[in-house]
Amino acid sequence: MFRRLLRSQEHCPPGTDLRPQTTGSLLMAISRSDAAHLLRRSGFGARPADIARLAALPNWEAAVDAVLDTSRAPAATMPPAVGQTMEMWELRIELIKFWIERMRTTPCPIVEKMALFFHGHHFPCSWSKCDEATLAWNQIELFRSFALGDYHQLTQRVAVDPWMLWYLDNGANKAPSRINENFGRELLELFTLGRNNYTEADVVAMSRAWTGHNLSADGLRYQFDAAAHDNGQKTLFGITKNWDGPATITEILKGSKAVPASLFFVAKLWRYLVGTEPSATTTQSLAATFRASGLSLRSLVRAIFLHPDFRGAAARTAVVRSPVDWFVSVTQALDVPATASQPQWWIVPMGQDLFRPPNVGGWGSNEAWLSASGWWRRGECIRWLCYQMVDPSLPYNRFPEIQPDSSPKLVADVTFEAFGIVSPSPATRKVVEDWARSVSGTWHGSSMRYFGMVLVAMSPDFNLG
Amino acid sequence: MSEQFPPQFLAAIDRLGDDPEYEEIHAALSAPVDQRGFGRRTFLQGALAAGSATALTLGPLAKAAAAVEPLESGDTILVVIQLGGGNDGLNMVGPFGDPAYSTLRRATSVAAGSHPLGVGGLSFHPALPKLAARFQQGKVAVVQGVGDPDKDHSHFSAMAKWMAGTAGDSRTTGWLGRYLDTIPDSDQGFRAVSVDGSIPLHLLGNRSQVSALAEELPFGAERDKGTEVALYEAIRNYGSQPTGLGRLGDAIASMDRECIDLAREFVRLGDPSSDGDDLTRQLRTAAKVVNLNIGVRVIGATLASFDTHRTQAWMHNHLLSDLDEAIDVFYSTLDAQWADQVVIMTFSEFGRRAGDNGSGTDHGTSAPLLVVGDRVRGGLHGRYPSLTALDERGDLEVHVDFRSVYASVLQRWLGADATQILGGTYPQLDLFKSKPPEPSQGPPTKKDPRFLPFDDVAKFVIQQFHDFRGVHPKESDLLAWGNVVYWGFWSIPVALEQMYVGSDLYRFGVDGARTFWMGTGGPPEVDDIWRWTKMRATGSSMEDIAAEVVSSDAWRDRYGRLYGTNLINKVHTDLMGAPPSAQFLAYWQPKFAHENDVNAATMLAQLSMTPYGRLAYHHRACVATVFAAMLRRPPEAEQNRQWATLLDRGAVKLEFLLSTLYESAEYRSRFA
Repeated sequence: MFRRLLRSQEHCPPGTDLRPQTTGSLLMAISRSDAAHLLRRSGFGARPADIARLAALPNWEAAVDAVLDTSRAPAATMPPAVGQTMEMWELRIELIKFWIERMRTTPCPIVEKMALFFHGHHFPCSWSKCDEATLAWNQIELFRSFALGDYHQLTQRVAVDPWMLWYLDNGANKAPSRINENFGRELLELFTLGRNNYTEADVVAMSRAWTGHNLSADGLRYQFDAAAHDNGQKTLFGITKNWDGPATITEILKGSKAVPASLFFVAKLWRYLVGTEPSATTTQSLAATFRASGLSLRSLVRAIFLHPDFRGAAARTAVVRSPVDWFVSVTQALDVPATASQPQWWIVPMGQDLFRPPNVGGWGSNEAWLSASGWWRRGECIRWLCYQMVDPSLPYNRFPEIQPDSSPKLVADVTFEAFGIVSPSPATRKVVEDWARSVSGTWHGSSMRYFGMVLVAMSPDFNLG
Repeated sequence: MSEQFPPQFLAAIDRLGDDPEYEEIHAALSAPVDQRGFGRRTFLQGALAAGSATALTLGPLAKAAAAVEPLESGDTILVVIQLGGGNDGLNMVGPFGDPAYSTLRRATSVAAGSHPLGVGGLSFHPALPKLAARFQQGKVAVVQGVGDPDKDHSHFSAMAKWMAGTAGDSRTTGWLGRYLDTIPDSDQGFRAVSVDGSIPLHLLGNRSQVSALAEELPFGAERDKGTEVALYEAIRNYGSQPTGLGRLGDAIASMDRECIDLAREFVRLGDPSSDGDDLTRQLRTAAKVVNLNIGVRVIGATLASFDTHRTQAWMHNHLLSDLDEAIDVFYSTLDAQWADQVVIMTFSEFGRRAGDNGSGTDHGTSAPLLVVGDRVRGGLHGRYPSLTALDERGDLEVHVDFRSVYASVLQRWLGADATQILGGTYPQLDLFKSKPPEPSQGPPTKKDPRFLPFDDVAKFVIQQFHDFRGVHPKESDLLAWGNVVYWGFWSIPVALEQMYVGSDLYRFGVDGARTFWMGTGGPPEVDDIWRWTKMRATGSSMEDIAAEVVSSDAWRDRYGRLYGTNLINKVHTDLMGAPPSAQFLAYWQPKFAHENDVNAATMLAQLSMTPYGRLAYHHRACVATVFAAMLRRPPEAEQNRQWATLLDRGAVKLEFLLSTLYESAEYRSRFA
C-alpha cells in the first residue's frame, strides 16, 4: 500500500502547450468555502480570520499566491532542548512539541505542510535507525528551507544528508568490495523514478556511483572518502561513463529520465495535496509545467492549487486528516499551545509517530487512519483538551457566546466557525443541532460550550482535511 | 537487603523514603500497567467486551475472543484479596467478650455478641454480617494465628515476603506467578487477571502474563453522566445516515458509530461507575471475569488502608464493611454454575499489636485469614493465639506459617506442586472438602485461514509480540495491530517488519549481534541476543557486550595468539575491510602494552559503533536477530551471510526475509 505506482508512463509530445487550464472562475472573487479548502490543503486548520483574509482577495490566483508567500516563515532554529542532557525519548518528545507548535503558529503553514510531505511521504528517515536529534532536526530544516524551492537541489542535499546516510546505509557504501545498494535502489524506486523505469543493472551502477559518499568518523557529517569511491566506468540508463552520485540525480531529474521522474513526483505530490488519483492528462500537464520551471516546487504547487480539479467536488472529500493534521487543526481552533496539549500522548497512539515513519515508504493515508483505537484516541484527545479549556484558572476558556440556553443554531454556527467548517453537510448540521436541542436549557446545557467542540471535532466534515 | 527484586521494581523501591506508607510500598511492589499513564487497558478487556457482546461490530475483536480457551469443569479458580497495610485480625474475628480482650483493647474495642461463630468463643466484627451468615452455611474457613514466624514488623519487607511466598530470599516472582508458570497458555495473558489496575508481585511469574483491568475506559464507554451519553449518541448518529461527503466521509461516519458501539461493550464488564466501595467494585468485575468463561484461573484484588495507627474504629469498620459487601456482591454476580469452582482468600502482611495505643493499633504479627467458597471446609483452622501469653513485644504468637496456607491452596485447590513453587515443604491444612468434578472436552475454536499457522488475527499479533518484543501486547496495541492486519492495511510481511523494527530487539539486540558478528565472523546464540538486548535497554555500554565477545572461543581462535600491533592490524583489517590508518595505530599501540582483553573489548566496541561498523554489519545482525525471534535459533553462518548480502545489495527487503521465515516449514512447526 505504500508504493502506489504511477499509472501512466506516457510521455508528452514535444511542443504541447501544457500550461494549467484556466477557467472563468479564476477571475471571480472567491467563496469562503474555497478559501477554507485552500487553507486546509496548503496548511492545517482553517481559522476564521485566515478564511476572511483570503476571501477578501480579488481572485483565486491572488489567494493561491497568498498561501504560497513564505516571506514570514520562521527562520531555521534548533529546538532549545537539543544539546541538553536528557533521555532520548524525552528529547524526541521535545522535538515533536517544537515542530507541532511551529505548525500550529506559523504564518506560512505551506512550509511545514511540504516539510511533512518530505519527512513522512517522500524522503522518510527514522529515529529508529539513528537517534541523533541534531541530524533529525537538521533534515527537517532542510525540508523547510526547500519547501517551495528547487527540487533538484533538494534531492541533491537529501542524498548527502547525514540522517539519510544513516537511514539508507550509504554512509558505509564503499568500493570496491563493500557496496551497499540500499540507497541506490530507493533513490530509483521511491525517491525519483518508481518501479518499471529502471533495471537491476541500473541499481548496481547507481550504487557504485554513490560509493565513497559516506559519513565522517563521528557519524555526524557527510564526508567524501575518495579512496572508497568507485572511479570505474558504469552503465546507467544505457550511458557508460565514470558516473558519480550527484551526477546521477541530475541525469534523472534534468536529463534522460526527466520526464518519467517529473511524472512520478507530480503524481505523488498531487495525491498528498489533492487526494484524488490524478488523470494522465493532469499529471502530464503539471509535469511539463514543473520541468519548464526548472523543477521549482513553488511553480508545481501553485499549478496544482490553480488546477480546476483542485476545487472539484471529488477533491473536497478526498483526504482523511492525518493525526498530525487533525491535532494541529484542533489545537489551532482551541488555541492551546503544544506545551499544554501534550501532542506525544495523542499522535503516537493515533498512529503517526513524528520522526519515526514506519518504513522508507512513509506513512499511509486515508483508510490507514481509520481504526477504532485511533478514533478513540481522537475522542479522548479532544475531550481532554476541552476539559483543560473550561478550567477557569487556565487561559484557554473559549467561546463565551455559548450559554446553557443558547439556541441550537447558534451553538452549531459558533462551533463550525471555530473549526473552519464553512459549509457543513446538512447531515452533520442536523446531528449537532439535534444534540444541542436535547441539552439546551436543561441541566446539561452548560456542556454545550465544550462538548460542542468534541462533537464537531469528531464530525466527518472536520475529519476530512 | 539480601532479597532480590525484579529489575523494573528497583528504581521505585530505591525512591521509598524512610517511613513509606502502605500505598507507596504497594506501588513499588507492583508493575505499572502502562507507564504513559493513560490507556491502561490491556487486551483482556477488549476480549472480555467482545465475549460478552451478542452482536460484534469489529472482526478482530470477534477473533480475539475466539483466541481464548474456556475453562474446563474441573479447573479451579482462586480469587486472592490483599488487605494492605496490616489488617487488625483480632478485631476481624476475635473473643470480643473475653476479659483479656477488654484489657488489651480500649479505644478500639468491639462490642461483644454481634455475630458469634458458635465455636472457640469468637465473633465476627459487627461490620461482617454477610460473612457471618456464610460462615454459618459452612462456606468460610477461618485460619487462626497465621503469620510470618520471623515476626517482621516492616510493611515493606513483610509485604514483599508474603507476596513472594518462598522459603528463600528471592523476591523476583510471586507465589501465584510461579504457579501460573506451570499451567498451559498462561503466557498468553488469559489465565490471570488483576482487577485493581496494577500487577502486584504475588501474581508475577517468569513466563506467565497477567492482564490488568484498569479503571480507564475508551472514549464512549463512560456513560454514567447524562451529559456524556448525549454526546456519544450524537457522535454515533453521524453514522446513521449517508453524509453526502463521499466515500471517505461515509467511512469516517461509520468509524464514529463503530467506535462508540465498541466502547459501549466495555461498560458491561469494567463497570467502573457501578455502585459500591473500592473492593466491591473490584469483586463485581472479578465475578464477571469468571462468568465470561475465558479461562482465567487466578484473579487478584486489593483493598488498602488497613494501617490503622490512629482512629481505627471508624476506618476498620468501613474497610470490613467493604470486604463483607464485596464477597456478597461477588457471589450475587457470579453465575451459579461457577460457585463450586471458585475460592476466595484474603491475606495481609501482618496483624496489629495486641494492645491498642489509645486511638489505633501498631504493627503486629499474626492474624486470622479467611478462605471462602462452596467447597471450603468451613469452620476454624489453626489455633487462636492466647491473649494472655503475648511475646516480649506484646504481640500475638504465630501458630500457622503463611506458607502453610499457600501450600494448602496450591496443592489441594489448584492441584499444583506446592513444594516446587514455594521452594520448601510446609504442613498442609485441611481447608477443602473436595475439588470440583473432572474436565470434559471444550468446544472447538474458530479458525481464519488468512492467518495460518495462527487461528486468527489476535493469535497472530500476540505471537509476534511474544517473539519480537518478549511481552504480551496491551489491549490497545492488540486492537491497533489487529485492525490494520485484519483489514489488510498492512500485509503480513509489512506487519512483521513493523513489529521487528519497532522492537528493542531491533534497537538494541542488533548492537549486540553486530558486535559479535564483527568479532567472531558468525551469528551469536539466541539467549545471548536477548540478554544483550536487555543490557542495552537498561543502559549497559557496548564495552560490556564487547567484553563478552572477546572472551568467546571464536574470538580467541581468531586473535588469541596475536599481540600489540599485529592484533590491531588484523582486527582492523578483518572488521573494517582495510588496514588501520597511522592515526588509529598510534592511538591503540600504547594501550596494548598491558591488559590485552580490556583494550581489545574497548577497541571492538568502538569499531562496532563506527558508522562503517553500524552500517556494513547491520544486515548480518538483523538476520541473526530475526532468526532468534522467529525460529529461536541462530542461522547457519553461511545462510546468515547470504541473506545479509541480499539485504545489503537491496536485492530483497527485510519484509521478504521475515515473510520467508514466516512461511517456512520450520516456523510453522513451532505451532503445529
